[in-house]
Amino acid sequence: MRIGIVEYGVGNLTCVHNSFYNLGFDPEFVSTPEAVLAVDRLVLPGVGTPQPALAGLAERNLGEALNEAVVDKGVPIMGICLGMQLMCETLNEYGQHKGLGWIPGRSVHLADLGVTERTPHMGWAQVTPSEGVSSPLSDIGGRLWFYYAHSFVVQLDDAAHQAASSTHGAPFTAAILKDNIFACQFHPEKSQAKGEKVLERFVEWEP
Amino acid sequence: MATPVRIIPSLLLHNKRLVKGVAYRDYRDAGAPASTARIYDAQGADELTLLDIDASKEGRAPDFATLKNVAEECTTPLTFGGGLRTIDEASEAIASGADKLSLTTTAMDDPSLITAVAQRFGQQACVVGVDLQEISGSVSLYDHRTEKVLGGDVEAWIDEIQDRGAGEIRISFVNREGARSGFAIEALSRLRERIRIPLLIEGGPGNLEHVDDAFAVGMDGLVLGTMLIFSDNNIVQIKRHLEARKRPIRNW
Repeated sequence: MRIGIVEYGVGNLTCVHNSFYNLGFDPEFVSTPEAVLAVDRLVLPGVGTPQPALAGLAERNLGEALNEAVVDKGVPIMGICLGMQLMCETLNEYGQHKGLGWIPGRSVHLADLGVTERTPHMGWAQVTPSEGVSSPLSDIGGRLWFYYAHSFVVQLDDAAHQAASSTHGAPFTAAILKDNIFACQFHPEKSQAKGEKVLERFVEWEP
Repeated sequence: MATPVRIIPSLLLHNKRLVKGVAYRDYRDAGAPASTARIYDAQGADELTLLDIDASKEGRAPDFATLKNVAEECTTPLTFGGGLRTIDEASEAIASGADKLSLTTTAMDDPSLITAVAQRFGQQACVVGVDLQEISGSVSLYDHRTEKVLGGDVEAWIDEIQDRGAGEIRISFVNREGARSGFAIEALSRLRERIRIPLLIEGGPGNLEHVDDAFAVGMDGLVLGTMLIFSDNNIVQIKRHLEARKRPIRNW
């Protein structure tokens, strides 16, 4: 099983790498189209803002290879935080940007959902998996606390793509599931035992 | 449920060891960084803060090697700071495994660093520390490098930190560090009104009641040092106490 963590110049890839490694896997960093197409599982992490992230993917010519792997070949992929937002059609943060377009929907600021709580939303929140959706989050059991650090959230066009929700003043999409695409707004790599479980489940996942 | 208040152990780094002091001096050894972080991780700390307390004083880059060691096995969000002066140093900290960066004196030297860090790594990654000293009822900014109280306007600085795009503010009362007399509740409550981003508070608690009292401030996180290191308290006990008082904390 080859796990490729997409390296495109932004974000904290070290933590994602360490988490998989400590679970007994040997993840690779993939930063070329060839490398993206050579692995069995893809992880698209992301911290920061859309513009440098999208520029980072473009500079390395990764957009097309990711499309081929995820859309044509059906390679399971997990997006984390900004990585999840990049999978949408549109991102609205410091301007409007075109995303990878796999998930019908857009990123919006929590305030646009009517949230009056302080942002960024930083800290832990409980996650409620959607009923009837089978994802790496299903059946983990116990209280599902996960760590968040974000101001923007994904607004889905199709509620059927929501794999889980959390609340920060108002409910928002905590995780997405569409075919071979799984993504979470929280950071499993920073969520102690429950987070490790999600990463492990993702590796075992057969969509 | 309200977003839980985070319990955040403070790890102060000095010559590759952890230390803890009183009023930012008289430091005592407090253990090895990586193994201590692992213990807090296992106890259910909500975040960790690791600060190189000598880097800015000595005008050098912080100890990235120790950061890397700590981050390697840490499954808890990690904030790193101490002497980060440039975007390159900030990048190296992120690459070494930090999730968030903390700027204190270097933000005062160059406030544009706040904006640069927030734009590059996201607002959520930019924590600005504010060191305060209480002198006969009034509160002043403090520079630990020179051990001097500064003349600047505390409230204006707090406004500027937010206007420049910081994602979180950590207010530390220097004179209360290690004093075990409780948080500066009144002063913190007053400052809270000006702060629209998450607020972490540090300095003063010596027992479980002090920690419970802190909730009057309306903060988002409690940064704890002495109380965890040189007393019989641990994170599990603190959380159990707060849960019994119906405080919003992460339980499991």
